[in-house]
Amino acid sequence: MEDLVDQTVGAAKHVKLEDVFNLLPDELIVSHIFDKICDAKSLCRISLVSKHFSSLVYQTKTISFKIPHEAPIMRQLVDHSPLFLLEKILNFITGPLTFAHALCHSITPQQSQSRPPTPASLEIEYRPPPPTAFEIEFLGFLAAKFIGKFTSLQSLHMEIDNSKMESSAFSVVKWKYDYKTNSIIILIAKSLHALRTATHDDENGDDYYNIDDFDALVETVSFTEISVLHRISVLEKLVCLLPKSLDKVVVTDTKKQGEFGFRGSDLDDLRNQNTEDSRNQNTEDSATGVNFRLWTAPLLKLPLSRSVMRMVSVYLYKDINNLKDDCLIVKEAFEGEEEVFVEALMEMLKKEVAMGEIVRPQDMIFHPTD
Amino acid sequence: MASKGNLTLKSCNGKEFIVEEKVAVMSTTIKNMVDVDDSFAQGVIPIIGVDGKILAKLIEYCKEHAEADEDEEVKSEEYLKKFDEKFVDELNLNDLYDLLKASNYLEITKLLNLLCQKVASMIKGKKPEEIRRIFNIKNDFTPEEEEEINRQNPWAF
Repeated sequence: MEDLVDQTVGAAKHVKLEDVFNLLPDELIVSHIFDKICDAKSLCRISLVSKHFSSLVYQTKTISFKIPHEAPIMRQLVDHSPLFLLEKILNFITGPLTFAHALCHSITPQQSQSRPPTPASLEIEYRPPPPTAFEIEFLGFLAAKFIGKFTSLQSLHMEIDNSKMESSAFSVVKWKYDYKTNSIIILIAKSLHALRTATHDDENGDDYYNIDDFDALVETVSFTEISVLHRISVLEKLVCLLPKSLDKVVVTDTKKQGEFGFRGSDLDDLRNQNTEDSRNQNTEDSATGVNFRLWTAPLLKLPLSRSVMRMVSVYLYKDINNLKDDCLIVKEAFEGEEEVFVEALMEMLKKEVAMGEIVRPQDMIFHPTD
Repeated sequence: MASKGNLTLKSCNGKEFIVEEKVAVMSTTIKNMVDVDDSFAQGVIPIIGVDGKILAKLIEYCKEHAEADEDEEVKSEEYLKKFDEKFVDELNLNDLYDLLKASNYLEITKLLNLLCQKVASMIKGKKPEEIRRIFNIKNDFTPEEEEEINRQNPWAF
């Protein structure tokens, strides 16, 4: 039998002079063919094939959209004092966090002019990409307008393409943002490998952070925080341009480092946040602050997953008004993900915790437990 | 005439196929015909608009899946997956078209899904002119309309 590909090359010669898409019910073309394609770029191209296709493609209910990753520009100031390790960590945690929190509400060009002052102790200088370039690059007004035409759209999957992003020395990164509890959990480790003999891993269990490690960790944590908050801000901006029919939005990345999603009423809340009044309200809310927790371990053995992680740290940031138990938030964070990350969080909760609270960036209260 | 437990299907060009009832009723259309009118179960069921070649392909597909539904150990999920892949890979475009129409008319859901998935994979990532050429679709946009859509969606090209 002649191969299909060969047939398709010379289609005009071999194919009956009829368009099968005219013979199939429109509903079937949409639900069984266009809905399986998903990819926004392909759907846009389909709209150009014929008027028949163009009239059907906007009834598609599922779209996936790949967004190129634009790395935030960071420059670390030279200060390698090892004496205040935890304090430094808290500085770099809280600096970008409070700064980037404001970023969530400063995407539009006119707002970018009035950012809040950054804390004096901030050791990472962060310059976000220009908002206009951000919109063009990530959402693209035209692409958002195109997706906005899908009046029956129910599900949108956005994938941040970070495949070309260079990994730091801390190559293991996993995070989760939970909209309900307004919390972010980040797990970072220098390495993850299979458990070898117990003796071998015990012998190497006394790793300490040197200056280079610390610098790499600072950069990785800071970059991850900013990336997470960037993504939330992308969605906040995008959501008001998207069809009201939308019921589910999931944002992932190519390296599978983190994921967050919104459903039904969460999406309505997000849309409402874009109104001027609620934006002002949010700005007031954000001034109330963030609780944070930090767990660290030089070596983490994971017997169930038969794996070992080195130089592990887990960061939890949550809204100061959120009363949900910290351990519960952390335990649930990676549910449904790879077992090794679920187990790692459970093991990390057994370690000592450093905790703190920021009422305002300038009024940071610091309570190390050891 | 088919023996008990078998049905006779007749293509539009007069070819008759005797098949087990469990194979034939994978088509919801045939199942409804048999359920509503017992004479179909005794006599010949005409399959309108489907020729002998396509009906044979349909029966081949339904036979494998009906047997797998009955006994998973004989025909495993893995076996069926491979069978499905081979089945669609060996189709030429004319047969793909005809099977699409026939499986839609006869409501053979699994096959319809499989064929639509194949069409979707043939469309995905292709440029409009390639899609038109593969599926023999007439471009009914005016050059001005085409240019306007291109201008609005530079990100997709």
